[in-house]
Amino acid sequence: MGELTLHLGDRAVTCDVEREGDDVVVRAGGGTHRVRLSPLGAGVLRVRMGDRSAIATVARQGERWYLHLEGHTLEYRVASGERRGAPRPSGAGLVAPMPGLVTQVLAGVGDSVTVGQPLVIIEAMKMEHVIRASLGGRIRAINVRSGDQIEGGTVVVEMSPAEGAGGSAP
Amino acid sequence: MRKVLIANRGEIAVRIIRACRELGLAAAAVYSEADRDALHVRLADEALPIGAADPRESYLNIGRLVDAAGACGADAVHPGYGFLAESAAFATAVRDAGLTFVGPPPEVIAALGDKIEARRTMERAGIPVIPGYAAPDASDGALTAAARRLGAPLLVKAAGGGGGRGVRPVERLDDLPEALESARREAGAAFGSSALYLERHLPEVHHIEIQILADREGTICHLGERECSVQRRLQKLIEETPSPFVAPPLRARLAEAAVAAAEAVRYVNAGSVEFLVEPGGQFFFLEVNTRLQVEHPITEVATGVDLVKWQLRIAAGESLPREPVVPRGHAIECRIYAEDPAQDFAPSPGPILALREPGGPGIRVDSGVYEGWQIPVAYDPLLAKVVAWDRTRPEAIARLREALRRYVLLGCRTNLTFLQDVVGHEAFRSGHTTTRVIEQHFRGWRPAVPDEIVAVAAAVAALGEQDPAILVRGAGGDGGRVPPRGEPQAFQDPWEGVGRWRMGAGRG
Repeated sequence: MGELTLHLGDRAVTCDVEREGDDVVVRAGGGTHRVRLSPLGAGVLRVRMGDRSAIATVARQGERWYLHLEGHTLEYRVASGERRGAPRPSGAGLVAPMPGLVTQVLAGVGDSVTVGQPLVIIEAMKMEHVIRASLGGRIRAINVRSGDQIEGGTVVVEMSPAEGAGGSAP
Repeated sequence: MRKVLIANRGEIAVRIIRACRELGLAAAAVYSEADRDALHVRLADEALPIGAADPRESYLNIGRLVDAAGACGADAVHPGYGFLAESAAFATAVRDAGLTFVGPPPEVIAALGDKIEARRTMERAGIPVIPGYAAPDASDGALTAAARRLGAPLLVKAAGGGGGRGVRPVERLDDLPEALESARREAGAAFGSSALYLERHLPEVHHIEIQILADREGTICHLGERECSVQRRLQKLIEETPSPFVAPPLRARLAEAAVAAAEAVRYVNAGSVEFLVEPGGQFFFLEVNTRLQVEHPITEVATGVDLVKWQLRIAAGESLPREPVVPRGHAIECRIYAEDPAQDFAPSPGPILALREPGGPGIRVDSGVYEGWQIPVAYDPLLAKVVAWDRTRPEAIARLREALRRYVLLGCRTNLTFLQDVVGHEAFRSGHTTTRVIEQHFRGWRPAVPDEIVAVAAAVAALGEQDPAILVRGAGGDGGRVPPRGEPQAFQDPWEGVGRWRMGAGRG
């Protein structure tokens, strides 16, 4: 009846979801799972799958869904249909893994850098995080300045792979 | 002593509030602008604003804290851990304001807080120290020369640091300049002193600390060890007591050295003497933490001694009992951090959309958060600690695993899944945990997500799109209306009213 794609970190899973009576049948990657969900209120659901039964906790904020079940915690985004609307930064974009304060920018646009070279320093929750060049190449753009407060997932530096590195760039 | 100002935040402020209440003392909290809605603010008898989110404007601001204590009529100040807990200047300012500082005298804090001076004191007292180079005001040149003599691997440490902060590992001497520069920068910002020293990075060691209590009359008692070897980024992750590695003769030698260290500086109040112990049993003094430790609860549940209450009692002039402390059973603590273990433990602040902390026999949770709160970016990512106690180590591990499995925290990334994997790993279960256990066994760790969990996630998304009420706290199947007390709650078929629904748009 419907197809949706779950984005779990850097993994995308496309599922076919169908209702059959009280069950939801989810087909993904060759496997079929028959799930029965009974809301118990307050973001809590009873989950039945085959002869297993467990309690799940769910929450949603904007595009992000959260699920806790049997010790697993999932954070995911959902797109209807096939891999559509998956905002993935390009391989040569360096992403801040966390929100924080940019304390130093150590490179400039046009600089040639080597793999592992520190480019930007971010501070959050008393930790310093160094964003390093993921490949050897040239800096195409730097999207932050020292003193900027940035969100997690911000593309801070964009790079072009060095010539001759052909094929290795993602 | 009637009223205690707690110069801290988070779970430790909550912990101290509880101890004050139990002793019949009033507890006054302080808060920065980022912590206006924090749990410790809600639980204290009163709460005073002390400034901006930046710790230098609030929790590290001695003047504002002492003023707050004066303004609310507190007669004592408890510093907690971190922030100003090991600041001799703060202890002095509190004393000069005519208030009682809940901790050692400022002179003792100063002598032990300067890690370079502390190393030298312990050396004089005959306690072995880690091979290294520690000289006051060492220049980069002197440090580089010493590093060549000592050889890699080394640790660059800040004299004003401690507890894993201000430490840079140097695997190859080529990395020394960058390590010195970044350590000086962080140390200057975090500790107000950029003095550095070097210690050999001992490859496979156990990190073991002895808890001590000392009263003003010079009675010093030790309360057993804590094994703190499971660390990430040189910060502790899991602690336990007793250490599965420490046999009774070594335990006695460590306790003896800890008491000697305390005597050497005329220690008063609670403290921990930390040692690095090599697999062969050779041990080295690391540092004395002149404060309550994050991991103090495991000692409390194993000994039955309430360390925070004893801190307050000693500060008020009470003497320690003479009978020795006899620990029983096994206690393990896991620190719950807002961080992403799959991304090099990057901090992950965010909202807490759902929270269910575990409980039950033998489980203690010291938490500083609540559902609906936004975790601030400005502070340490520690959210809570889970402590499991049982008769034996395997039983304590089983309790802990089950507690971690039940622990629900949605909205930010946490290390809850990671901790389950660590605690369940053979390397931890065998008890042969050294400070390298995480990098040896969990490099590149990713959470295993079984297909059926993904299937449930898909089903939840499908159902939630149709009926968002299932996701909202307090809004079961009744459209958000909470039935008045006594009114029977009709069973609502979640599929009723949904009809024939379909996923996605324009497909069928």
